[in-house]
Amino acid sequence: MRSSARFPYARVLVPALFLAGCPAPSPTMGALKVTVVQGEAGDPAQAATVRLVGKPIAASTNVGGVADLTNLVPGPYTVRVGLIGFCQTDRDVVVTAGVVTDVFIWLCSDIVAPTNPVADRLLALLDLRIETATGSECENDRLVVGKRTAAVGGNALALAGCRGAAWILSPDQAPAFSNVAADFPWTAGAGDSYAPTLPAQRLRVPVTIWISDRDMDAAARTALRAKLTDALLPKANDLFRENLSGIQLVADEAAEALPEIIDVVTVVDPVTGDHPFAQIGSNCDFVASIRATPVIYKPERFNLYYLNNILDGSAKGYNCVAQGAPNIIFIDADGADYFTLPHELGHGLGLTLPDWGHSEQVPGFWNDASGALSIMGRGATAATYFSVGQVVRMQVEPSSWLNVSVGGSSIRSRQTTAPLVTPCGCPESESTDDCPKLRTDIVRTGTQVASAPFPMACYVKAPPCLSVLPGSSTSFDAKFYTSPAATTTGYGEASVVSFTPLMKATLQSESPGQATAEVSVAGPGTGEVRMYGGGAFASVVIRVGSACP
Amino acid sequence: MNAPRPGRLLAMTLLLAGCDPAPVLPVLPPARILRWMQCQECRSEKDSVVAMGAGAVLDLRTLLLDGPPPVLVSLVANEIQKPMQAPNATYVPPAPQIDLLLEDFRSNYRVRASMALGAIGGDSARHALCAGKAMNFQRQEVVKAIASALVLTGGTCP
Repeated sequence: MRSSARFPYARVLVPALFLAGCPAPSPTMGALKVTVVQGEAGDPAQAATVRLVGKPIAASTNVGGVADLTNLVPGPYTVRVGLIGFCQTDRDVVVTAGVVTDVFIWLCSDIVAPTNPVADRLLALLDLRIETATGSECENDRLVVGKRTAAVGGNALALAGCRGAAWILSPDQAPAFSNVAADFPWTAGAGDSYAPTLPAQRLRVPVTIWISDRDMDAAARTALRAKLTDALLPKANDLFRENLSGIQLVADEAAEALPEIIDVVTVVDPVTGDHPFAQIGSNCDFVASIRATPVIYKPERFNLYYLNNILDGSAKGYNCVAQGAPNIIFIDADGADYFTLPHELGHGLGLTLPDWGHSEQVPGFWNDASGALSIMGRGATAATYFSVGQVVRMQVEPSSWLNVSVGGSSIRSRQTTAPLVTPCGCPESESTDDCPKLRTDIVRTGTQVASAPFPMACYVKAPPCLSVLPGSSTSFDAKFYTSPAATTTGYGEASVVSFTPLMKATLQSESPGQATAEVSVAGPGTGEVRMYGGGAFASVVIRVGSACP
Repeated sequence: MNAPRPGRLLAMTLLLAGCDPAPVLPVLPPARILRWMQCQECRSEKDSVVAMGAGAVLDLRTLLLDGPPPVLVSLVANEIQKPMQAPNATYVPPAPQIDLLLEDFRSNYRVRASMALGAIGGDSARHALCAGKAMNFQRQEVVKAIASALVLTGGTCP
C-alpha cells in the first residue's frame, strides 16, 4: 500500500475536490481524474498535457497536478501525458459509466545522465522463446545489465508475452557500437548460430590505449607501441575471432585500417610532462579522477592504461568494473600475457560472473584449443551469459539468433517482432511507483531480483549552472537516484573537469541520496565541475563573474 | 611437504640409473604455484603458495632461475606464432615481437617466483634469490623483484 506520507497533497486534494462539489458523472458516461506527479518526492506536475490517444480530448493539469476528463463514453482508452523535460507516458485505462476513474502517473525525467557508454549500462530485456525439436517453448525472461544476468523470472514481460525477442533499453548509453544492420550481415542467415564464418565485419569496439611514462622511458614506450601494434592488438583480434565473439577490436589487415577504432596515445600530464599520478594513479581507486580528466579519458571508448607494477605485481591486468567503470582497464606493460588485453576487455564487455567472469564456458570467449590459456580463465563450470555483441546484433538484425548457454546446455532464440523502443530511455512500466529509481524496477510480476545490478546511483541531479565571483566559493547539492537495494557508501565525489589551477571542487558532505560540494575559484573564466555518484555524474557549469543563463 | 611428483620421480630415477631419461616427461610445478604464475587478477593465489612454506622453495627457485617449464613456453610460443586468420591473408607477428612476448612470459614467472620467495622467507628462499641475483637478468622488472624480495627476507647475498 502506498504511504500517504509519500503523497502529502493527496490527503488535502481529495477532500477538497469533494467539498468543492465536483460534478458527478452522468449515469451513462464516465470520467477520468488524472493525477500527475514528478520528481523524487512525487511533487504535483503542473501544466502537463493529458490526452486520450486517438480522441480529440485533452486537458492540462492544474497546480495540484490533476486533470479531469469528463463525459467520456465508457470503454478502453489510452491516457497519454506529456510535459517538457519528462518522458511521455501512456497508461491504458477503462472508463466505466457513472464512475470517476482515478489514474495516477509518475513522470520520469528524460534527463539520463551520461555514463560509461559501452557495456556497463547496456540494459537488455530478453523475452526468450527457444527453439526445440518440436517447435518452440517459452523460457524465463531475463533482465541483463551489460552481460550480467540481473534477474530471471517467470513472465516478467507480461505486456510482451513470450515472443523470443531482445530489447536494448538504453541504446543511448552504447553509442560507440556500430548500430548499422549492414555491419552484421553474417547474422542474417536462417539457422545462423551466430557468426559461424567470421567475416570481416564485426562489432567494432573502440579502444584507446594510453601508454604511461611511469617507469618507462621513451625507448620503452616506443617498444611497447610496436608490441601493441604488431602483436598484441592483432592477436587480441584473432582471439576474439577464434572464439566467435563477433567482436572486432581493430582491423588487422592494412586494407581495412580503422584508426578511429584504435587509438594509441602516450599519457603525460600537460603541465608537468610526467605521469599524471593525481589523475590516473595506478589502480581503480582513481576511477573518478580519471573520468573527470578528459585529456586522459575518453568516455565513449574503452580506456586501457598500460603501465608497470600495477597492484604491486599481483595482476597482469584488471578491469575497474567493480568500481562501476568497466571501460577503464589497467594492464601491466611488461608482465601481461598476450591475451591479457582481450581478457580484460571481456570483463569490460560484461563477463563479470561467476567468479568474476573467469569462465571457460562463456559463449564467444571460450578457447577450447588450450584450456590453460583460455582468454577468460578457468574455474567455473556453468554460465548463463552471452555477449553484448550477440544482443546488439539481435537488436539491429531481427533475423539473427541469440545463443544462450544455460547450465551447460545451449538454447537459441531469435527476435520475432519489431523491437520495442522505450522513449527517453525510461522504463516502460505499468507500475506507478518505480520511477525514478533504478531500472531494475521495471521487472515486475513473477520476477525476483537477486541483487541490484549496479548498487550505485542511477543518475545524478545537480544545478546546471553556478555563478561564482572570482576569489570566492559556493556550494551546491546533488541528489542521487538509486535503487532501494543499493548499499553503496560514498555517494558523492566532486571533480573539476580539466587541468586548471584556478578552480577547485571538494566534497563537503555526503549521505545516501545526496551530497554537497564546494567550488572555489581563484580567477576569471568558465569551467565545469562534475559530481559523481556510482556510475553516473552530473555536470555543473561554473561561470565566474557572470550570471548563469 | 609435497611428495615428489611422478614425472619428476621417474626422471630422477632414470637419471640415477644412468639411463637416458628421454623422452622427457613434462614436469610442471604444483598447481598452486602454477595458478600464481598464471593468474590475471590475483587474489589469494600468492598467499596459497606462501602457505606452502619451505615446500615451495625448490619449485620457485627453479622458476626463478630457469623460467617457466619448457612445455609451457612451447605452448605459449605456438599460440603466439599461430598465423592469424584475417579474411584475405594470414598474419604472423614479426619475430622480434614474438621474442618479446615470450620474454615477457618468462620474466613474469621470474617476478612472481621472486615475490613468493620473498614472502616465504628463510635461508633457502634467500639463497634462491641470491642465485637469481647472480644471474644478472636483463629485464629490470626481474632485477627489481629480486631486490625487493631480498629486502623482505631481511638478508643480503654473499
